Amino acid sequence: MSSSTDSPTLTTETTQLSPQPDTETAKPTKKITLKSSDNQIFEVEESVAMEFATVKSFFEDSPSTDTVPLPNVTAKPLSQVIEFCKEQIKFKANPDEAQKKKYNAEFVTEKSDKDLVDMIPVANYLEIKDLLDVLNQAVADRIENKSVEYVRSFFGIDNDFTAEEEAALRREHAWAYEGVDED
Amino acid sequence: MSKVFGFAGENDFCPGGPIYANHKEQNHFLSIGRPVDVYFPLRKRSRISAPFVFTEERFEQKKQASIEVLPDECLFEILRRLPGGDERSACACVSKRWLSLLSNICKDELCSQNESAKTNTQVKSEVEDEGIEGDGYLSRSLEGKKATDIRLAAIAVGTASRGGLGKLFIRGSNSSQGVTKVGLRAIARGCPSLKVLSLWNLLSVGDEGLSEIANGCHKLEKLDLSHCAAITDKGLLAIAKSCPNLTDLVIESCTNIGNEGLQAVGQHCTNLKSISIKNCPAIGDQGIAALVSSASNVLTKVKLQALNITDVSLAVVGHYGKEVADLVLTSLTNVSERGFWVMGNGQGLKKLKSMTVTSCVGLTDTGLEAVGKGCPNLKQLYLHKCPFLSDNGLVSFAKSAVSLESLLLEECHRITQIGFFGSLLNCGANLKAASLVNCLGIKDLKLDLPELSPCSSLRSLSIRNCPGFGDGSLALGVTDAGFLPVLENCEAGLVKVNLSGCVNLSDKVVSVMTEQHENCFLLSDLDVSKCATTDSGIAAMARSNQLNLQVLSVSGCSMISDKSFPDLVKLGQTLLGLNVQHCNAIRSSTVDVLVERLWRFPITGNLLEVLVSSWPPFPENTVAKFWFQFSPMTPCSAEAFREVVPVKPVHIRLSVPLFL
Repeated sequence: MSSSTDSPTLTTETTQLSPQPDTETAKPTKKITLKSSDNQIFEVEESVAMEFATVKSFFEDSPSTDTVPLPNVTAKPLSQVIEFCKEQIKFKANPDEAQKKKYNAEFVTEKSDKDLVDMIPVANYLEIKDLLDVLNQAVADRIENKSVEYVRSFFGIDNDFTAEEEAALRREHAWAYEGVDED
Repeated sequence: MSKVFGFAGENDFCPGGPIYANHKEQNHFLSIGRPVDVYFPLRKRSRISAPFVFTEERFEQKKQASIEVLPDECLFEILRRLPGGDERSACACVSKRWLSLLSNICKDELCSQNESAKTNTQVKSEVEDEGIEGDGYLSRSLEGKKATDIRLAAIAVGTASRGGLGKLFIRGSNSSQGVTKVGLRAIARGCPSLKVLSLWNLLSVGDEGLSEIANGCHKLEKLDLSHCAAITDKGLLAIAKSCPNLTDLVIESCTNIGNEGLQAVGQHCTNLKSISIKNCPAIGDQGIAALVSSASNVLTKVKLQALNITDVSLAVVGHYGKEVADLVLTSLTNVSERGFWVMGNGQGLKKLKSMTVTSCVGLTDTGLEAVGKGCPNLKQLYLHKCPFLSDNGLVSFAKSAVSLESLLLEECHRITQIGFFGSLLNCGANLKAASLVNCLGIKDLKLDLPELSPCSSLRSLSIRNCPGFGDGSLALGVTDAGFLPVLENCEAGLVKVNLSGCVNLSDKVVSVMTEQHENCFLLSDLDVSKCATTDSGIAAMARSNQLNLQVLSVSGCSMISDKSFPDLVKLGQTLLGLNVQHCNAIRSSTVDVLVERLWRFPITGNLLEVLVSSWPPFPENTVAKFWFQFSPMTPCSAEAFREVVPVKPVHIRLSVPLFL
């Protein structure tokens, strides 16, 4: 995550995220600065930041601050989370369920497994319920019809059952292993 | 601060420290060593807690994206979104953490759209300790080392999507490794359909575990607690309050369950039908009285064994047991004669049909007489080891117990022929079966029984292992004063007579019954095993033209020899079953020929089973295994059997209810 290859894309994103004031709105919207754990600075519109329940309550507690440190969040997933929230705000202003669904589906399908998994704790920490729902469902769907070994290696999980325990488990659940996908 | 996600709220997850052992990696979302000038909102404590304890550092960083970095609540959210039962079951096998999280998902927390379609693909195969009940619910049984929290969690996850668990039996091994509240919590969350729960020998299951069940399994109907010392009144109270459908409750050797628990059960369980309490030192009259009096209108079965209760409890049962049909009292050492007397006079036990009393010194003549008067519908009376009961009590009981159908006396040594036959003569018109087992008071006595209204309905008479019952008693029969009047007056006809183990009984009983007795053609089942029956007894039976025996057992009669061969063959015309095991005087070659002759008997050919003790009567490949299925013989194949026997084996198999 902290590798140098990530940095250029991040800087471009940062510039994208702080565009000139919207020409349509007369008054320039308030910007809020978010600081990720790897010291990247994100400037987002207030409406987007308010989608983050954690940030929102931070401002309610101490309104005078302008930079919010997010110590648990690295830049890459944060930028993706911001991207998602921006879209959601558009749908909020102009509700279109079908479009929203389509966007949400596309948002997760184009992400790698690692990106998905990385985003979940971020969304969880920032308390963005919509995003969490989408992400959790996406991960759950990726597990569908996979064998145990596949799930283990796919997600990098150690098997901590004893041989005996696992045998008993597999017997109890034997019916579930019929017709699983090839690994 | 390190507990920012709150998932470690109960400290039972990763007790050794934070979830991330390696702080140096950059991409940890939670870095402990950071200065704490950051904002962490206060959160509710998570309701998720992974209960299995991990001690080793298993969270080594993988190069790959590891789903393991997610806190429990995130993983929980993912797992509850799994599309179906298949996936949940598969994921349960991934790791202990996944299993424990999955098992913590309540049914109503699942959010899968296509669940209904998935459940239609029903169970395909079952393994040894599994089974499906008639009502579509699954049944599971865990014993010994298998009884662990992990197995329970597996069952909870596995059965949830296959129609649900209906019955669960856990037989612990009293080790500290066994089932705890964690396993029961999984069951409570995953199996809301549970109806029958049985917990034996589970030292680590206490009130908390039972409360979990109470919270999750409101449909519970039967609960069986045995040797669960950690369960107290509190646990039972939780069950009583949350499980209104409870009909059967069994409590055995639970030292910490007392009167308050029973009181609560009586108060809250308005459907309680059956209660069995055994060997619980903390339970006394107060608890029994509270329970029986509150459940007065529903309780049909009461079993009280080895308790410290006194006459008071019996008085309450006698008064409030309006619906009680079945009463079992065992080893109640503090109950006196007065208790039984009050119970009989309580006027409550009008519906009592069956009573069994074992090892109660309080059951005396007065007590039994009162019971007879107070329970007009009593059909079955079984008395074991009642040392103070004598002939007078039995006879006066018989006079008032007009509905009695079945009477059994075992090890009641004060009972003599006077009492036994006296009760038979005095009994109402319904007595069908009478048994006397191991009663040493039965001796050859000079008797003069009065001629009374005879017991005409008796169908089965059994006098087993009473060494005092010998030829002397038969002499009485000859003088028409004892045994014989009973036989003669059985208008319905005695169908079954069992005199096994009466070692002093010789051929005379057989001769009397077969030669002098007109009704003997109804006798179909005669057991004189281990009696002093000899060849002449068999000969007497064979001579009788009226005898129509279907089952004859002479096992252990060492005085029956090869000479009986022709007589046995003759008897074989009507026999369906013959037991000649342990007849050491019959040579095995004779048995061989006998079996073959009887089997191929030209006229009736209906012998279905012969029990012999010597092997082989036939070479192995000519005898069917169910032929000798109740004797310790080498079985052989059914194909071989068909070659030998010109009868359809299916028919034979269905007609072998003998000797069981």
